[in-house]
Amino acid sequence: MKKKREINSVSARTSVVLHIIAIIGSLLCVLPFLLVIAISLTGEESIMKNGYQFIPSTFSLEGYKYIFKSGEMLFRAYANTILVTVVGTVAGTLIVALYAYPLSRPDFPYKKFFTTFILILMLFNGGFVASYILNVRILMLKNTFFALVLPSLGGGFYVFVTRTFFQQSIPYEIIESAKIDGCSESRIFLKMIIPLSLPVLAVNGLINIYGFWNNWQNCLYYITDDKLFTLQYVMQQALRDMQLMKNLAASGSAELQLSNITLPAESARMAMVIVGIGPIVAVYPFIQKYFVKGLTVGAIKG
Amino acid sequence: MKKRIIAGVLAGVCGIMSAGCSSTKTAEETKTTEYGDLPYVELTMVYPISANTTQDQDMVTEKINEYLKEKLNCTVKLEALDTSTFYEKFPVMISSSEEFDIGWVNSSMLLQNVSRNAFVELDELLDKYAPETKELLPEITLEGVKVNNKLYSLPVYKEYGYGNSYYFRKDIVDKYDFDLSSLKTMRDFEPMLETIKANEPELTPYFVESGAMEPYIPAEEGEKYYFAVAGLPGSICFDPETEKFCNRVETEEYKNKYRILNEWNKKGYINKDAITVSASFDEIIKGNRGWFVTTSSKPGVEDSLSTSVGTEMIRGYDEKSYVMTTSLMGSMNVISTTSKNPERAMMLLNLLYTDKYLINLFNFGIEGTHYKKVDENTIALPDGVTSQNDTGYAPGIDWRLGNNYNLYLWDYEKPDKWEQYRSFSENSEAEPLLGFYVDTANIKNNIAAINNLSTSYDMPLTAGVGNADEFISEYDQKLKEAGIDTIIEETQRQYDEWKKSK
Amino acid sequence: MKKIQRVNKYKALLVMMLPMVIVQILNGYLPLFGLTIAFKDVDYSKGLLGSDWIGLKNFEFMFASSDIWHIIANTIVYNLIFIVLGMAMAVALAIMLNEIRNRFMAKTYQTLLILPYFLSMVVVSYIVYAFLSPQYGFIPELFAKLGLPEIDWYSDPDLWRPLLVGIKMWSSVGYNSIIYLATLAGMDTSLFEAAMIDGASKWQQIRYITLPMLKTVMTVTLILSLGGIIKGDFGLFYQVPMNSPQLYPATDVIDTYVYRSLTQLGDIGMSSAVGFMQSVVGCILVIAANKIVKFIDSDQAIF
Repeated sequence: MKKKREINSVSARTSVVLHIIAIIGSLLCVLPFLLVIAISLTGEESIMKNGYQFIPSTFSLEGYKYIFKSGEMLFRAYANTILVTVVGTVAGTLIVALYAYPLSRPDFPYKKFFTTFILILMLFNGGFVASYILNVRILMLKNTFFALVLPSLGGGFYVFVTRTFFQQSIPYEIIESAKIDGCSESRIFLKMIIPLSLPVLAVNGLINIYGFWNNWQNCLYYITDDKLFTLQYVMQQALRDMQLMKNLAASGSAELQLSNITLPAESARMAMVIVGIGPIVAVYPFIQKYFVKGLTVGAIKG
Repeated sequence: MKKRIIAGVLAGVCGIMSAGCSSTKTAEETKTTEYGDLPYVELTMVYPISANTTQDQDMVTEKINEYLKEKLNCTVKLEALDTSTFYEKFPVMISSSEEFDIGWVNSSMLLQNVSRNAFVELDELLDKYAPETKELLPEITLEGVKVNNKLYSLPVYKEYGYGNSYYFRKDIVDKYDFDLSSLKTMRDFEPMLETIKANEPELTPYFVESGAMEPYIPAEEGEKYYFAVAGLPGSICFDPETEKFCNRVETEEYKNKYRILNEWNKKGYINKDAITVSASFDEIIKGNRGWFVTTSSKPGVEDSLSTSVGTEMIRGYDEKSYVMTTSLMGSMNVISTTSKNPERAMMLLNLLYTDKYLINLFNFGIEGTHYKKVDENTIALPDGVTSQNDTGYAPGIDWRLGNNYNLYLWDYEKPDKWEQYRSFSENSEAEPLLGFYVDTANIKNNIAAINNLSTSYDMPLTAGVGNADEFISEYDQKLKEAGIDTIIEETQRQYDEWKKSK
Repeated sequence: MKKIQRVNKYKALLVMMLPMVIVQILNGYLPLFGLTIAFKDVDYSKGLLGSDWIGLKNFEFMFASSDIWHIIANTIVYNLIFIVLGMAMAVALAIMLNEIRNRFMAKTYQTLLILPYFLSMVVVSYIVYAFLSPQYGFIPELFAKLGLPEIDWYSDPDLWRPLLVGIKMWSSVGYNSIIYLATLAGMDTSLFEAAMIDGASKWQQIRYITLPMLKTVMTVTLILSLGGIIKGDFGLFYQVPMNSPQLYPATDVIDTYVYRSLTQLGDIGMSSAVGFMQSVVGCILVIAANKIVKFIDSDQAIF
């Protein structure tokens, strides 16, 4: 089978064209990133004088030093973020799959109701203040772990994507035959549906990972206890405070008269981008392996 | 390193596990204090601090509570939020009616929320629970922060005049022997700009950045001074002679100013990236882009500015300083309508204004740990520490709470700092609109539309791009469409009424 | 009785849906009371629910200026381009990556193409500024070296229409193609084998097998993205052009316009009114689009 697929491929010439397009596209995406890395390594004075440059005229690690200054706080924030991401991703992916599966079943009689149920919320929301009132004053989520997870759960769009995948890739007949063989619904879901839908679960997982990893708003609004701060929040806050400090620098406030140092605003900003996304970019290649072909029903049936 | 990471991870996990269960509160008990028998309460205070400099907050809070327990039989829960977080979070706390007792606000936060009944009216509370503070605060400051003749906030007691000044790089001024004392109008700037243009290719003669304010110096001699109105867009102004409000864009003074900037741009005095570049004073001076900056004219600014930009700066042309509603409202404390104990909150505020120990504890932390005393009123950093940020407690709230004049001075500060502040304040004249507040309920739509126009026209005009006359007449046209006349009319009506009631 | 029997039959499936239902009630349905803020004169001492009703007064400010129609048009045109072009490019990219035989290279491309998604619009705005700034920008410097005429990028709105579309595509296409890649990965390969044996060319396979396979996901995405047709990506339209007033004719969309109008006023009722209006328009469009799709091919409709 592997050999056949090799035969059924584009011609050598087309293949070269495809590679060229992909390389150009990749370069367009990578160059700005290299610029970010370059800025993060440039001395602040040099940025003020010469603007951004791909090749730093003065090399400096001040930006990184500045963000790692808060040492332990940063490691704790990393740990919190990892925990939030893991819990959130597992929960987020699972509830979407569990909800999408019945919707994909042609025999399920309440499809219309449950579709509308999700759809309404994709169009209307009560606004942030209403959510805040609910979460803080009624659910009492302030300064709890749940506040970092719950508000970000339940993406409606991915329910529809997942449902479509189930419909297309898993023929109803095999579910029916499994039922005739006496399999329970939960068994069918766990033993057949999940293994057959790894690509879409991987997509959901990936999107949840990115979402939870990058989220800092939950922490901003719901957390005041620094034991629970997440990485992106700590970074965001340091960054914006640094900017504010610079703007206040001449207002004559006592605290600032002591800070006769140049805050590495620009380089630190870019260093934060690198420190913040480095680990998460590295996750992608691991998830990619679930995007491979051959896991389909056809292969199993054959 | 590895150990540190593991320790961090463990700490994080433990933190998350334990954060759910908060500590149990001490039993409510009544205690006799110098203010009478008071039941125990906990008060929540929300205010902004500077980031990452309050590792020892818990230690200081404990000390504060020890003292307050004695004094008022209360403890405080301090929601000391990082400045940037504060500005996003506090409005949400207010709009969701989250419970807190004392909060810090600036003018826009006060005006936006007073009309929505977010804050308690303080007149009575002040009389009853904080007579010392009422005595202490100059009447002008209490009058100035009133909204509709009612007091909703206590201004932090600090300098209260407001004016601007230009601060120039001394080396440049000396090099070309500029006479700053002869600087009276924008026209007087021109020879200097010319010289810089010709001799200093690196420097921009007149550096403008995206957050820049318009020149406060008059365009030409003998110009009339118009006043801005608190809570309204800058295009509405007040003429003190006729006591009429008018459309500023139509005044000669306005047109002159922008014609000159337009000329300067054409002569190449203004940087090309004026509209889009944003630069702090540091960046302007250290980055060798500009050679002067504009900021507050209050005493001592040249010293702190010189330190922060790393070269000596000298001032030129102090604007006449006024006591203005907006400047008085720069830093205030309020009591929330969600507070269950507004009386006790007022007593606490009173202590912040009158109790020297408490305000210094809030501001500098614990003696011996965060600072050491040099003499009665002077303090220094603890031995071996070079920056306040490294002491573990540097909240930077000196101008956000209570009474500045009760604060210790650092050993590097001028010993007469407070006297200077006092005389600066006393020499500031009250602006004619002091204490006047426009109720915007009926003109909100017009204000929204005009705020939008300001963002479209102010910056290009300040950068002097295009053709100033065309821009101004287009701006004027649009202001009329957006209903500036309705706003002027309504404001005038309210002003006349206010004047009568005074 | 029959109903209960039916519920019983699908009990297991209903239980599966329960976690999501709970989450949606907590995150979505309960806070829906916030919609009423748009119709209220908010008074915090009475609470949001207890405040007085004021009808449509909070909506008026949006239509106080004649500029609004131009701004609505801007928002819709940009979104239509983003939706159509974005989908075309994401699908093309997915198919292309799928056809690259060297798996290592294909994975590398995928990983690199997704990088821009991780840069927040603030960071993107700095990068763009690094390229276009009149003072230090790489492109103005390059133009000067080549003796080309000087262009002031931040004052010419016509340059920004294609630029904004380009930036949006650059930042989102790699990420959006993931969904299509996953769908392709889930496809039944035997179809292609059969087609090949029948002598179908690669292009014919794409045209008659791959695209129809992707059609359902594309339709779902299309219908649902119409829900946001008059919402503007704030970061893209505000931060990336550095909020330059001279660019407003090209960069102003509803969200930036409202932001500039309301930051000073800080009126929660007025800002809720904007959100409400955006939701209603989105809702109408989604229902209409679904009706049309149903009419053409009832299998593809999403509800």
